[in-house]
Amino acid sequence: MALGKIQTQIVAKLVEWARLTSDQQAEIAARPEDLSGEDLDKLLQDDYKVSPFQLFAAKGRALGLAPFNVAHYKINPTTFERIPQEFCQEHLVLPVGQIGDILLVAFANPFDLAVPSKINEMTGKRVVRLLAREKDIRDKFAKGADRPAGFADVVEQIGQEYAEGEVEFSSEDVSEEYSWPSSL
Amino acid sequence: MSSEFRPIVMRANRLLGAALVDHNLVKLEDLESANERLLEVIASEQARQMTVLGILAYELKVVREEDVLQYLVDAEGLGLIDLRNYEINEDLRKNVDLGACWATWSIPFDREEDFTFVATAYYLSPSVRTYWEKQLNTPIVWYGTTLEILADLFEKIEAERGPVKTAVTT
Repeated sequence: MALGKIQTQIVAKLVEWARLTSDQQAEIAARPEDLSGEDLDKLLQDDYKVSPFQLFAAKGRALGLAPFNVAHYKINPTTFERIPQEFCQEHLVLPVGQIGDILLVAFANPFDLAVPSKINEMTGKRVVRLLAREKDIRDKFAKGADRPAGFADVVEQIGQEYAEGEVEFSSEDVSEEYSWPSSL
Repeated sequence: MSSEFRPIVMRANRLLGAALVDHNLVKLEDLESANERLLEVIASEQARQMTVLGILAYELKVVREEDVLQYLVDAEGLGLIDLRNYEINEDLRKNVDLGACWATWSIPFDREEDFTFVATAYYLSPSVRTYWEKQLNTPIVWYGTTLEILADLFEKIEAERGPVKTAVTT
């Protein structure tokens, strides 16, 4: 058997999206050699002209995760409020948002299933995983480490604190447990 | 919101409500109450409140938006997105039709290769998905998000664009 379970699902997703034909799927599955993850990536991109994002999205879907474009996420003063930056760097994860008691976390390594449990224990929040490119997460940390806090950061932080203050003020006006958020 | 979007608003909300009942997230009698209230809100033309989901979650308090989103993650395999700290694609930010966004509680927010990323609070409404599939004519990566995150973003974009200019005829 040339393809593993996840690899088979990746190829099937690409067929579903009409990026590969059923004949091509059969051709790939019939290859005699075992393919590593990198081998399959190379094969799909070089021989079958699957684009990098198509491949990334197909991997995500095969793993039951949505792709997340970490490059367009803006690290801000609240990013590492719940999950320490050192933990994130060590495990190559990035908190990319919060919706109620759900934490949205981008993972470079979706196979490390212990990390979501650790985050859940650490924060008491439900964790929804998103799939990130490892390079994007590393780049984010590298940029953060290289960049001294400048005027723009300070202004942004003050702006956010001011905005947070406004939210607190308006939520105090409404006493019920579930209120229309910001007068929805 | 322009009246051209009225049919989309009605259909998006009707189908979302039906889906919430089908998926056992809301009871039929609660949906009926919410629909009555929705008609009043639509007559008042307040875009931010034209949502059956909002009425169910924040007025009647019979469902939590988070639970609907968690359902989307678990049952539909959808990703979630918090757009408050995300760089929205500049072209989409400048050109997206905000009337359509308000009507469908959705916004295209990023592009990569030929894919468009769309955030929505109305994924369970098939008419909303069909609307954006036709408009964008690209493969779409869908993300669930909240009404509040969307409404705040729509209002921010409206403020950036400035007041709508009315044509003056002489």
